[in-house]
Amino acid sequence: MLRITSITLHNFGPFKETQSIDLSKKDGVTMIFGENMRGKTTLINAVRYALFGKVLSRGEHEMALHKIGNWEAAKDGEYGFKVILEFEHDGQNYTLTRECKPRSGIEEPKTDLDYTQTHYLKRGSDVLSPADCDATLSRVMPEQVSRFFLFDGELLQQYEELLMNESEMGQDIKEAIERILGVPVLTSARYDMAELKKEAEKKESRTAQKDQQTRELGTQNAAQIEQRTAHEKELDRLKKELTGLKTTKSENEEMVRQNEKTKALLNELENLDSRVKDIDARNKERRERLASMASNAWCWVLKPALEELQEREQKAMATIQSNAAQREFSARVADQIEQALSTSKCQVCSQKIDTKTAKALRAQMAELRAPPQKDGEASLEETVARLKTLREIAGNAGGKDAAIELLFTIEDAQVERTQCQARIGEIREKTKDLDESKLRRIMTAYDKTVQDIAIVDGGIKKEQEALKEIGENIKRIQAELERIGGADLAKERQRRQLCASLGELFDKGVGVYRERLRKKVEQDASKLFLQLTTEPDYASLKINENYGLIIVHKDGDEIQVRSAGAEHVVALSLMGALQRNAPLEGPIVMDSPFGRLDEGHTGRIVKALPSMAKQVLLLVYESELEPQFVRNTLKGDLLREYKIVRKSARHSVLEQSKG
Amino acid sequence: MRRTTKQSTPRENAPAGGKHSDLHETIEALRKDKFPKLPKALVADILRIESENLEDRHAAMADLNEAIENYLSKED
Repeated sequence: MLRITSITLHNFGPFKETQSIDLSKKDGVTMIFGENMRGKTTLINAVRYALFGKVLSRGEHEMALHKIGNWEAAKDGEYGFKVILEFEHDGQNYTLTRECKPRSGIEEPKTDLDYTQTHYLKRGSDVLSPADCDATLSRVMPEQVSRFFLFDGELLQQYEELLMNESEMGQDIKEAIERILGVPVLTSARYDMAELKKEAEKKESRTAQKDQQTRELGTQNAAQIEQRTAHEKELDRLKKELTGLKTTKSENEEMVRQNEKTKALLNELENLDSRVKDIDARNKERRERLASMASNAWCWVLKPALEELQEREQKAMATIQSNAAQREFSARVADQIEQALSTSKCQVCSQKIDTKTAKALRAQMAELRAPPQKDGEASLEETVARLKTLREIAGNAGGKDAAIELLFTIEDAQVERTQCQARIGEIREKTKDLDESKLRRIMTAYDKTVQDIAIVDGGIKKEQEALKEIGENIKRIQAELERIGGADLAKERQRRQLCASLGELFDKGVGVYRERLRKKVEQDASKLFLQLTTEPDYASLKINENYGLIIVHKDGDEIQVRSAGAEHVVALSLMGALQRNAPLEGPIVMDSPFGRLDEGHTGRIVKALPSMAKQVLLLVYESELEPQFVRNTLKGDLLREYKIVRKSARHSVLEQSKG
Repeated sequence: MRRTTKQSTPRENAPAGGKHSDLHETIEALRKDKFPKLPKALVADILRIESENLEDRHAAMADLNEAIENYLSKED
């Protein structure tokens, strides 16, 4: 196991001059508290620099060496930096020194080219040769798996990529996981045995060619092997091409997805534009109708008065009609009296009319024939005409409700138009930099990649068929050689068969070991996850082919969407499980792992830290994790406490506060 | 410079960490079950060579060749 015993920095980042952290050789946790920008990430980078000669930025890009040295020291003319890492591994003490200094003759370095780097490793008091130094370092801590030992808590969400098939980062992480778990030992053994078997086959052919009896078969075998090599080369090339095409396809798919979103936005824009035009046209027509209705608006105001006038005119007309009927009746009666007077006989009873009666009748007749009193009485025609006009006007007064409804419709349509315009604005903003020809190019490229994949797939199948046929030919020739060959050939055959069997063993072993590892990682990660999570309804974690972990609810359902905090807890569970199952043991050096977590999860993780690795170095800021809380939680497992104290913006000092 | 196991001490040759035993156990169980004729020591030797030489394929091939050659010569 690798255990860091001290880290010494000289002018590294904000750590001016020489400063050290001494770590306990006991199992437990060392805390380093420091506010933002004081140099917590720099400390991880110092370890990374010592081991691998690299310094990474937050985005995991390699940083220029020129930017790493202490700025105040550089101002005083002292350029460059140095890290000394002391560690124990398998009972041996090592001191690793890596230094970066200006090249001789360069007084004021400006770029990385102005620096030179050296490193050496001491085992006890012996300095190892450069080859042994590098070999030891790659055994103690291979760079490919360093992500599981030195990590930034903020980047833990990367592990979600393991849930996505064909994700490039997911594949990288999967390879690193398999590496830390020791799978490459088997995959390399499988590959090497296949290579050694091929070598043995070639030797077998050469030996056969030397003997008169087996020469022909040996030559045939050599030719078949040569053909097989050519097909294998082509198959390798095609497989690489396929991998490249699949990567391109997955990149294109992302762009196509974006493209589809954009296409949907453009369709929406088109629909909205047409809707706005439709609203405008309809409202124009509605407004014209409303304007026409408004020309009679005065009628709506006069409606009550009109109704009163109409009533009055109707009454007047009734009076005129009644008077006219009365006059007609009087005239008829007067005519009958006149006739009776002219004959001096009653028209009804034929009695003679005496003088007195005749006189009375004449008086009555005169009265009946008297001209009618028409003072103030309008003519029937005039009244009818007035009533007609009044009815026409009253008819117009009835359009008021329809006009109001029309007005509301116009207003509603206007509101809809405003909403459409707002959405149009949003879409135009989103698509302002849109290059439609680029979209078309992406779609064409995607279609072409899909076609190319099909072609390469076809090529691979063809090569595999050819290889199968050649393999059968070789087997047939080998069987024949076995039948007629001598002792020399038997020895070569034994080598070939041994390599073939070993290859088969390791081939099967890869599958069996992977499956066993997956089960163990799943079990250990689940156990740790249940210790870390505050959610009582979660039952376990389920592992996928890529070592991605899915949360399983106690009802058996898989939790499809998880928060950043949950992602963090799952990633830490994976880290812990890998540490427990990896052949390679080392310290966990973690930077700010609690930023996304609530108090409950933070407490549980702090409590679980000592079980995650034998040596844990935790770098946090105090508001992320209070020192007293850590002391109370870890108790005896808290070995030492350091604090990074600010001297200036470009100068931090490491101070031991406990232990 | 090619690194071989001959240059290393026995301590260096030990598989990194204790959990390589899982890998060895898995392969040994498989060997016993499916490939009983394969020599146990040679299989263990191959795993050791591979775990020590992951970064150096040339060294791995040379050591593997040597291990197989030694085994075959002993068989003779």
